[in-house]
Amino acid sequence: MVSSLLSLAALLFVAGQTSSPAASRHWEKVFDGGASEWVYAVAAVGRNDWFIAIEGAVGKVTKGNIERYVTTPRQAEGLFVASGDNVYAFGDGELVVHHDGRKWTTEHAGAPPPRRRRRGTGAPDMLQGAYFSDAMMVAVGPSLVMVRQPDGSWAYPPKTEKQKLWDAAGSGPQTSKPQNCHLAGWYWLGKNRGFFYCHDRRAFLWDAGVLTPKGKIPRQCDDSLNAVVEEAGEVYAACNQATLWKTEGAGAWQAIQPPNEKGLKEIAFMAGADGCLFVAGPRSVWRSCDR
Amino acid sequence: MVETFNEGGLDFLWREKNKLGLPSAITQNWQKGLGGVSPESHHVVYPAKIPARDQLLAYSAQIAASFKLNFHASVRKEFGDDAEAAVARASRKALLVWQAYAFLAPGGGPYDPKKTLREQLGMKFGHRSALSLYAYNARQQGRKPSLEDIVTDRTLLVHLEWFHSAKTRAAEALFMERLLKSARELLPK
Repeated sequence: MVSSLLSLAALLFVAGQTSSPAASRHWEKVFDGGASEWVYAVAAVGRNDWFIAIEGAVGKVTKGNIERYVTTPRQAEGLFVASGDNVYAFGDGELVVHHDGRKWTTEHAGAPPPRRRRRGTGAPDMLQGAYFSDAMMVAVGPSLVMVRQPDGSWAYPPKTEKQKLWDAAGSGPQTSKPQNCHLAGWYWLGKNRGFFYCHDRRAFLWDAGVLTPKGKIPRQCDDSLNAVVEEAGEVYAACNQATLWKTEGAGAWQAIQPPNEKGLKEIAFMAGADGCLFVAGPRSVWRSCDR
Repeated sequence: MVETFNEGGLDFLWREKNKLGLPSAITQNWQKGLGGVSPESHHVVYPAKIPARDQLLAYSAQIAASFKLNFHASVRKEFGDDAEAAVARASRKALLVWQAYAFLAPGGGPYDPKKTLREQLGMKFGHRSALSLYAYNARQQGRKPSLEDIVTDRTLLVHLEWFHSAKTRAAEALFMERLLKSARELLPK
């Protein structure tokens, strides 16, 4: 008996992070898209104030009520919280929609996108997210880069700047990596703040040039880290097979229980605010709050 | 750097990179792509950002891996004991079509004979679905399943984009091969 228990303990040790029990959490479904309303992004500014991008629209959800803003023929593909009162949605057809805390307005839109996009053609009109380069807000897509001007309009950066801004969107500032780190993925978490991991799975928080080690990301995240958010000082990650993880200080990653939903195979998006974590599957959003 | 989903159509290169048999000296320079959800499938995609010079290599490796891993596993699942013989008997022409099909549509559920073929055709009718259909047809006709069926098929499947695209790619490969052979005959050795 003792020997089989020892073998089991050894097995669990070898298997590492994947076998430690997931920390339980209470999840509440806060959006159900039914059979056809697909989720494209989520963002949150508070426990009861969060944002969603769905088929042909963006919405602000306040205490369960969705205030929709139609974006068709453009599709919002990403949401970005610039500050508590300023949330942006980005999409194809150079879509930039702004919520100022009270209402939605379209800040910029280019020519309508093609009705049916051919695969692999570069999506030259698509914006998917944003980050701050110093004080400047930069929106990026697979190849497009646009910069918000002081008057609220959006402009293409000069050619010499474009590549630098695009590289920083996906790879962070050039000087941010430790030695022997071949960058695997970079995620902007806020102004001058980011998270990245290397091919050897070492993870780091980057804060205006200062690196804080965050252990090694779980194996389940190595090739499928879908989303990263920082909430209440910890980093949360959504990975392969709808697994959720959070950092515990500097070293370990702890599995946390995902929403108990039959058929939930992937968590594509996450957001965090006010001690709450929001996660989105293909057609639903759940919320879990610490208190 | 090139983003392989929007600028190439390799939706899962980041996730597959360790299964391609490429040395880490190459893949360590790759990064996770922008990701997000595919507007076609509404599921998460895992593209990579790779140096432009690695594009041909990445495509070749992905095509080879899809064929070696996915296709052969699917043939075993759908053809059972007849799988090895079917692969051994298959013409180069047929294998090229299957290779392209397995690359374009690496998954797919089994064919359901209770439903019409028309009902089942679409994005989800991957290469495994086609293998399953041909295995079913062969059983109905009392013969061994054959990979050649994809060459001679004139049923509704010809309207399926995967099928059409796979055949076009195979035809292009054969054409280029013959062109190269003819051109080489003209050139001094």
